Amino acid sequence: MPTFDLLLPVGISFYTFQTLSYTIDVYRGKKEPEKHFGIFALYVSFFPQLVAGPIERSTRLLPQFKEEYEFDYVRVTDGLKLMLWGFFKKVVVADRLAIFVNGVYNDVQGAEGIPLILATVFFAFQIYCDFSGYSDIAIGAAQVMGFNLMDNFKRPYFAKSVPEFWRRWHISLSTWFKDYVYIPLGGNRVSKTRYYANLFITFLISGLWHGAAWTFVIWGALHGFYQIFSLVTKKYRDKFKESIGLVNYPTLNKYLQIGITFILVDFAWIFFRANSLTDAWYIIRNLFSGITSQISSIGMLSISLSGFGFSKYELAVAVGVILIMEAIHLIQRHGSIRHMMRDKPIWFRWSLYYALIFMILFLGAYGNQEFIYFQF
Amino acid sequence: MVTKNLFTFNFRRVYMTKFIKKTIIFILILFFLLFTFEMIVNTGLRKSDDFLLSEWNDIVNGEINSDIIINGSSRAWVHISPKILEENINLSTYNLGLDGFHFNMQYARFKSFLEYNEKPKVVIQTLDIFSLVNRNGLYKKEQFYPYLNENHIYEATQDYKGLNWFDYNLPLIKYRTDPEYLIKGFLEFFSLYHFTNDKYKGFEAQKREWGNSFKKFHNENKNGIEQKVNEDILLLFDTFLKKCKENNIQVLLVYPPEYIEAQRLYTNREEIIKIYREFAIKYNFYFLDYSDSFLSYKNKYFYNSQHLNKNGAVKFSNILAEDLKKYKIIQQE
Repeated sequence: MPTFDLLLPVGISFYTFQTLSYTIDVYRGKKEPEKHFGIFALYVSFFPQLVAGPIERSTRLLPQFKEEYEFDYVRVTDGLKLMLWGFFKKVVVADRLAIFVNGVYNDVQGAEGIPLILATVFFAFQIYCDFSGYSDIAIGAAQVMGFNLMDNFKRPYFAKSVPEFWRRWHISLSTWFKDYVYIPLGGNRVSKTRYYANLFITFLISGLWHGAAWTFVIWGALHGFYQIFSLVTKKYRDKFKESIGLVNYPTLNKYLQIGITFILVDFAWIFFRANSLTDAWYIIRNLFSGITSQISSIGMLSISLSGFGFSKYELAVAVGVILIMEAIHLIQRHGSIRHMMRDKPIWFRWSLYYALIFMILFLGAYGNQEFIYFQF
Repeated sequence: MVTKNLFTFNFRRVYMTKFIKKTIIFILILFFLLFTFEMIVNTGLRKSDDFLLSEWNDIVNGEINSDIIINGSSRAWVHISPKILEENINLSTYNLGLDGFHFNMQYARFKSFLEYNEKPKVVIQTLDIFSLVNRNGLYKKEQFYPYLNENHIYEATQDYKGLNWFDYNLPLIKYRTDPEYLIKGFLEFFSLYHFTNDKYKGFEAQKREWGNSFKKFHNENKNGIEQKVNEDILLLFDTFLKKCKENNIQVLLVYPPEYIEAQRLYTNREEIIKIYREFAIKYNFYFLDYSDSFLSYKNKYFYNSQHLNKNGAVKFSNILAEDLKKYKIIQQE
């Protein structure tokens, strides 16, 4: 059968959604129509967030185009720091992990066991760093010029449940779906069955937003299912935790929840990344195949990983940069690192900036890797 | 109102000046660090015996100074043992064979050699069907990083794709795609680790068996392949022979064994061999063609169609040494 691939402009779904929200807000009377064509055109095509968000609401962004801006040292340097951090996530973490992930996912039949598990875990970090890295660069660039864009990610892999994950992941899209799909469907102020259906439909559409492929539909459906399952079983899960005494160990309980949430989200990523449903099923079926022999023969495992473009050195660098990033995320729980840094002596701050620049220059992967979310 | 405006203006100007000053200082320190690290890494790598760097280091450190130089591609590197020649002819020998490169880069290496070392009595220039062909990509480009400020290497690498303006002009940036060489440079500089290789004076015998790469290659090219001779490289080859003649360096052109079935695949092979023969006549140099050697007829001496394995290389080196003696090609003083 001949196939027909549509040639779509980059980032079309982002500015379509942004413009849709404006149109709906004007229709609902929440927002006065913008009469200045130039300002409206700037709202639709504001370059930092044009191709991959954050999807800004007209009520937040349009008024900012009418303000006058003065040079603000702290604002400009904070924006540059955020951009630097975004480049680190994109070039050092995401693009480096992409080498292995692409190697495995573009030839899944040649992998089983640990390479499949590793590629699936790596993809979770790859897509996070790729997308949140872009968001950081966009938010930072806008901040340098004086504009304030919304946060798009809040350390999503520290979420303790799938619903919480969606409050931390691609926030501008999740809130868009909440405001313009989920609530118009009735939200949670309806019967239970309808409430669950509303959740499921919202996530199904969210899957379709990413692409017209069954893999994205199943990814969305899985997240819809997770949401409903989480609500239905909450009472029983709480009882179970109480019966085994887990509630007496809040830290253990928290990290267990984080771990389980990560596994569920990462399992769904298999469908998101797989090139086809057949590949996705193959991966799921073979995630643990041959794992015992692979563990017992580290030498063979090393050869197997190198077959997908990862030497021992690259594996060590990949794991190392993920650990660095997660360590920074742990610190971020106590507040903005940029704010914390302001009190530190200049030699300390600048050493960190140089370290980041050197990591970007020499640990980055430079193979023309596009931002994943440019395709949506 | 006027006072407020003036105050606001000065306040902004001070902050803008502060920003510009700090940015300049930040960039200057960054460049200072990059220059310092480049110096450390280059110095470290220049004393390394790393597999890719050891011959380049011997060249630029002037440590070769041999009577006989074997120059060429991988067909020099894995085919001719300096040890066997030294044992047979009693002249010091060094193999400059450069894996993956045609004559233009081989000549650049030879010119660098001449710049830092005493001129040899004899150059054994190995030839193959690809010697005069152009190649685009800079194969294993990390081997050139510490020497990009060397004239011959700088000029030669510019003919290839692989390095850009930033690699040549900004300190340390060239290492970004091969950071393991950054680490190697640091380790060598601070004498924390010394990288070595198994080569003897540039030669490395390959303990490998005949594989199926030729079968695959043959199936993909059943109608034969033509190798296009590059006019610029041809001119360069002529210059090389001319300069050697002028400097009283004897050149021995050698076409090492090539697996017989591969010979039949190259449709213009005879034309290329004829070019080599004509050059030998023009400059009155010897041309030893081993295409018809008994080695060429048995794949047990090869690991692929162009390269002899250890067994084949030992036999060929002995044959070559015998021929050098038999024909009195190399006149000992």
